Amino acid sequence: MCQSEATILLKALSAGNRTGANRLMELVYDHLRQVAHRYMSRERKSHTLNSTALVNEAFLKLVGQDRVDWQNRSHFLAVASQAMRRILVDHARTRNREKRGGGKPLISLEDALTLAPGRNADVLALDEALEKLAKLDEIQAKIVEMRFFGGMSVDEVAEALGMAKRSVERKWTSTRAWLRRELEN
Amino acid sequence: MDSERHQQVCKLFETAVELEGNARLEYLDLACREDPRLRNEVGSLLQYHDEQTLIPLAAIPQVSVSLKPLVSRSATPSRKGRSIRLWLSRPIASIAPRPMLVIIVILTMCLALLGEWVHQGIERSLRQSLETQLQTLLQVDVAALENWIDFEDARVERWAQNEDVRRAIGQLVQISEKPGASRDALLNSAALKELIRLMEPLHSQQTNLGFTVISRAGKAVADDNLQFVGAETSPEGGPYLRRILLGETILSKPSPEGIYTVGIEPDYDNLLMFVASPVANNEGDNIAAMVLKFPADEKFTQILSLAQLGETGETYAFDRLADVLSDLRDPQAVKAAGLFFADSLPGHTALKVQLRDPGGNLTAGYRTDRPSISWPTTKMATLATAGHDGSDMIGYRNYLGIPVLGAWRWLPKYDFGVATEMTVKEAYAPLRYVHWAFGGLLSLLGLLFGFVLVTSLSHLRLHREVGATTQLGEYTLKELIGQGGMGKVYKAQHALLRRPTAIKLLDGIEADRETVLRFEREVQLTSELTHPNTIQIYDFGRTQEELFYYVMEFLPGLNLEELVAVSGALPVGRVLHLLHQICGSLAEAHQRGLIHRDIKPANIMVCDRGGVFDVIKVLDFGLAKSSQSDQQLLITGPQQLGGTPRFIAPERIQDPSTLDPRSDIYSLGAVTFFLLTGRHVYTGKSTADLLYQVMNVVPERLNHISAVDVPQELDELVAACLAKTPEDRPESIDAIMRKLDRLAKTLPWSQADALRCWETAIQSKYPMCTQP
Repeated sequence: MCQSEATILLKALSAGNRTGANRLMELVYDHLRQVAHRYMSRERKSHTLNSTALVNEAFLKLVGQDRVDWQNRSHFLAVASQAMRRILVDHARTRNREKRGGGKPLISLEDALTLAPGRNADVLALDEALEKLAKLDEIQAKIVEMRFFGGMSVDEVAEALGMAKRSVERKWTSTRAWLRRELEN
Repeated sequence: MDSERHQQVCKLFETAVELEGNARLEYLDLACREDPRLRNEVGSLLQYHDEQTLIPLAAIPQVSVSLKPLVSRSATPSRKGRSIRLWLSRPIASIAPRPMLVIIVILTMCLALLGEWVHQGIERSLRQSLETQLQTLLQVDVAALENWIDFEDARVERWAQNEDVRRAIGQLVQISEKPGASRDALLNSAALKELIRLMEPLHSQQTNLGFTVISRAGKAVADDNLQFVGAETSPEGGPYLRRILLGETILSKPSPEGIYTVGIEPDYDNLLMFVASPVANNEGDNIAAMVLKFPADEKFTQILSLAQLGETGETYAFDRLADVLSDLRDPQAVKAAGLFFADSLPGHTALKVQLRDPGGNLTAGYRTDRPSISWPTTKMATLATAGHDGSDMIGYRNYLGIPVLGAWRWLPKYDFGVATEMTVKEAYAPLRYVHWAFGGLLSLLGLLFGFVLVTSLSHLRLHREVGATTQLGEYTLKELIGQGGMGKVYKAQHALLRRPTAIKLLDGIEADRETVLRFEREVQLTSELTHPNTIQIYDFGRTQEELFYYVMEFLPGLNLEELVAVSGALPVGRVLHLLHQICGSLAEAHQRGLIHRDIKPANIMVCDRGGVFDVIKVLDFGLAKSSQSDQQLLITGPQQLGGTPRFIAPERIQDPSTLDPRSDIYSLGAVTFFLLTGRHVYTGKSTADLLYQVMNVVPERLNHISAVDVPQELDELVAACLAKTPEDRPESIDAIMRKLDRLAKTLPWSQADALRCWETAIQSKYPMCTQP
């Protein structure tokens, strides 16, 4: 039943009805957390998993490829990115509190986050930087969240935010530079 | 900084970053004319601008950039928006066999050390316990012996001090000392009769006990065997007599004659011993010796053999000359070893065997030419006769040459020694179990080691070639699936894509700039080939060890060489079908000016692609070959060539740098010949022969070969392809294809035919993957 519920919620969301947003978030979050935790607790240190893969898998599980159009998919991914961020940050907080603060975070931000145990400090540093960024520019923080935690493409981000692709690209460039400076200092 | 300011900075940055050099500076100057701090803000952000990443990859340790890709051409969906490249993934840990091997080596060493420690501990305690055992036994034996001797001494002293006996002996001595006294005077004397009567109880005590009385002049004045009365004592008896007359009670060693020499044959099988005590007259002078005689093999030997250790332990007495005085435990073995002086019964060994070391184990068949008298005395005998009591728990050779442990004691009072010995083999038998146990464990470990070694051999090989990792970029090398003159081919898998790939590592190419460029150009050209019968190249690069590699389709199937080996000569229809595909692949390459240069059966795969059988894939398009390696082709030995010159056009032998599409046509002709006949065009035995034939001998016509029936046109086509000069060959692949098309009409080859062939091949032998 999950699949149909998520699909209905997603369609409503795309149509501008935001009442089901929280419920969708809940569904996605639960699913992603389950998968991610299972993955991170079971797998060995050396194994890595792209967050893109997880988010996409969640989409297939909860919604299914054929039932929604591309716009719906972008909205879903946006929600999933947010969920993913929460999961990773929570995971990092509970697992690796003591390791915070040492050294520069080893994060690169091209496409998607790689889930690797041991990256927790980096996740936290990034989260902190994003919080700061959100206060300065909500959209920029959103873009990073989608690109980074959801592994969304520029096209998908543009779709989800209802912006022109070109604007997203430009914002993405400046955000990267800002984050880079923020994380290195 | 507030939100508005931030957005302003970002906007300026976004515009500035798209401008280059001076244009950017001018723009910033203009935009921030009134606010130098704004200008600084944007400037600082620009410093952190990076096309790809937030932080340069170089600053990130342990990122999987272990190779320097010449061009990143990964044929993955990464071209599209969402890349699935893992820019932060650590290299997937290769399941290195090394830790396993190290563990086993350490385990083996620990076990060996433990084994040695346990062994030494057991040996030490065993040695101590053996020494105690042997010494105790020796003490018990010696004590028993001394006890018995004391008893005999007391008995003879009792008789010697008996009043009546002394009186009778005094009279007998007087008779014997009268001048001119005869033997008869003694025999007839009442004193002798009286003495024999007095001594009667002696026989009731012990039947084989006898007595003799020797006067101080050394003459037997009385004896229970009357024939000895009046006899003189032996020379050996002399010293005994002196000691007795000085007041000592003595025990003699076993001797063949007893105390006499005269009138008695030495009897080595019935040795005698005696105890003697002085007999004094009333004035207290010792005038005679009372001697009690008894057989040596009774008490003496019995006491020594009372307690024997295990199967081989024995206790025996020996004298100063290292003669054995008592009977040994195993007389049969002694006799078998040829140690007896005399050819006598094996029952008794006393005085027949000497304690000499033969130098080797006589019971194990050791024999020496040296006379036994020249052998050194055994270690035990040497030390004991020198008066050193002791023991040896390491082992020395005994009189049979068998390694033994021993404890010994010299008894100066009686002038003989007692030793107890046991073979090393028996004594240390418990150690053998320890040896076996640890030997078994060690060999088990050895087996395990070997197993791990064998199973990880491919891994180790990978480690050697690719360095410390089996990771090439995003590809994980799996197993070696082929090996050619130019390098090795591994099965590999992309980090994310499940698609199996094959990676060829090229060795022997020097990485100078020119080679790098040529390699790059060739791979690029090849990767542009899109014909379905040309193998697809996905990616290429260079490892840290400067090895070139490229990534291609993984093809499960057979190459033509193997196909012919499995199926023999192929039917004409099938050959036409295969040729058509090869020509298709070559035609595209030739059109782009790419010459294969190494067309041979081993470079052409026949595969099953998605249920379509007999699909040709042409491999190795000019990739592995530089002009340098072309020259090597001819100067290296035939083993390395692997028969390559059989398919090389004559003009390329003359000048390896020739680049003419018609060289490929020649090779194609040779391959066709091979497929149709199952044998090569030329069959020279050596490389030199082959090269000569390729240059000078006109190849046999297909139709002249029995068991081959091909259409006239095909025969002519192959002959034309194999022409010595390029000008005589078909002008292009297209020309050949036209002919093939015509022929194929008369000899069709359907998928059903292909399937039948494949099923036969699968039944006989189907190597899953062979990609040279």
